[in-house]
Amino acid sequence: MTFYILRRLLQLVPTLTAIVVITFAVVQLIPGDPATTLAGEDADQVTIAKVRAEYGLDKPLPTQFAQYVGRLVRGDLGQSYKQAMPVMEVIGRTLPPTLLLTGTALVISTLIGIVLGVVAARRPSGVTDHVIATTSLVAFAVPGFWLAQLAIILFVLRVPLFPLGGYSLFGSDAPTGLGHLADVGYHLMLPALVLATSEVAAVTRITRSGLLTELGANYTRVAEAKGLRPEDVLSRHALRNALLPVVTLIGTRVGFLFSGAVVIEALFSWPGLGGLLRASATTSKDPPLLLGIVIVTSLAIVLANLVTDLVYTRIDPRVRLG
Amino acid sequence: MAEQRRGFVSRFLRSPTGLVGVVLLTLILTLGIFAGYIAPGPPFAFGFPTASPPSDAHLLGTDPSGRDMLFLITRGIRTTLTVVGIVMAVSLAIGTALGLVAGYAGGIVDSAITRVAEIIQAVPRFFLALVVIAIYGQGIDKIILLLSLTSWTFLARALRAETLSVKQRTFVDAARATGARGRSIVTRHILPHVMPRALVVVMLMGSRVILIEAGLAFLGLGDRSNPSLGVLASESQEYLRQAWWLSVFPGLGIAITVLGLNLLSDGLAKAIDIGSESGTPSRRRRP
Repeated sequence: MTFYILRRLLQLVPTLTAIVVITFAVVQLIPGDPATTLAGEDADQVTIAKVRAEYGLDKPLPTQFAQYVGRLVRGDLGQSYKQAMPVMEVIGRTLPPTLLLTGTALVISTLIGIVLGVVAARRPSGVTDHVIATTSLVAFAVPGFWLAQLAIILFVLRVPLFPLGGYSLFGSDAPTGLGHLADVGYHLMLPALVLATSEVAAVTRITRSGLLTELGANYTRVAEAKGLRPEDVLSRHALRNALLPVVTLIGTRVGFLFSGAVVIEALFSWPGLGGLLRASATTSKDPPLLLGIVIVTSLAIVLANLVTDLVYTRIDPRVRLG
Repeated sequence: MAEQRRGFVSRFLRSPTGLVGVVLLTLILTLGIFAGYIAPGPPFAFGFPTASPPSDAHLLGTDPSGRDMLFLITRGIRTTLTVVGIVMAVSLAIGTALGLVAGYAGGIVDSAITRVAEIIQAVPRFFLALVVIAIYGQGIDKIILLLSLTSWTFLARALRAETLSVKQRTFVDAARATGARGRSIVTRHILPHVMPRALVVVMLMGSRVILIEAGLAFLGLGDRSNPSLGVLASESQEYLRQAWWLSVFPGLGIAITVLGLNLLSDGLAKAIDIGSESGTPSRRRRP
């Protein structure tokens, strides 16, 4: 196992190199004077000179690259111009709400998706199956922010079931302790459900087709022939194997959820990376912060894939380590 | 071959999935291509009501500056289709070429191509696109370039695998035995076999490209001088309370296009699976 983990970590090297090289190239390929662009639109000469020195833009390319890598290794992502603090700190403040939203959506979509997949696979081509299949197709085709807009029109503006947005109540009537947790949960519900929708569709389809394959396999027929109840055949034999592909895909889905989350967050004024990203991409022009966000999210996705692989080797004894 | 092809088309048309996909895409393509007849314009004129709900004069309503939504949406469809069409064509060209070469040549060429594809896929393209557009400035050309450069990899990897398996088949040996050279084996014998699969992958990829473009547009990174459906939907954000039609119709346009591409891709994949002898039992069981 240790050997496998080491080998898997070694495989990360090309991926990490790719992230570093690509982000470096984005800065290098800026036409004209990169320092002026990086410093932002309304920067003075002093700031521009500072940026040039900080990024080493006056030095030869290999030196610049070495400097860049060196800074990344030390966890230094540069200075955010608009927020007037290190990029790492800005991200550190806004990442937790994003992780909460993404994590909740990941859990919700996996659970609902598996349940729907099982229900659909019980009677393939039945009415329920067709309804679930059609709904998933539509859910998978709808842009996340549009779904969020519809949800806001229907469940916030027309029928006020949910709060318009934000993380929790604030001010004097804001609850504390457990009440605060419940309040955050209440604010979290609609954005998390919206974010989870397209992923529910993906998990449903994978679970359903996996189950159908397993239910047609010889070992499940043996289990049936032994006289096991259909529910036991399903839950103890077929489902366990059918869920393996669902686990494999979690890493990839984290990537989709992340990019979906930044859009949804901006809509629900959820205080995560999304609002920050939207502001720094359009109005405030804060390239160091943007590059930092790209690097951090790429790393998060790489990590999610790593964890998925490790979990996979634990639950599937057929995967041989070494 | 002709006989086989006819079988393929009829198999494809018999599945409701593919057929519905064709209908939806035809609807969108018609709206985009004949935009000039459907909503001749002008987009706004003196006397147009501002932010009025759908009516006989303005089927899809008007926006807060008094522009006719039907006009905007048909032009938005054009922009969206142009973006996704070019990205699909470029990816199809690069991805097919590199996938075939990697799968057929093997060795160093194969590992080099596979490595480059892996590197590009390592960085989430939504975020990459976001940064590049934010730093380099907005423009539909940048969106197209960036999405093309990051999308071919999916196709190249799928076709590499497909080529590896087709390469083993007897007819390739037969072609080689008759003295055919590598290039003609690839273009005349392998390419026709992997093409349907390439279309399946490229259509799925196209539907993701539409969603990515819409997401970027929503974050304010779309091209405002050439508003796509995504840009239109994002502009509606401030008026959700007063004017639902501003958000609903552009979003519906995106959803129909994406759904159409997905269904078409699904139907095509099914027609290939049923047609090939290697269709797995589990796939055959599926309705």
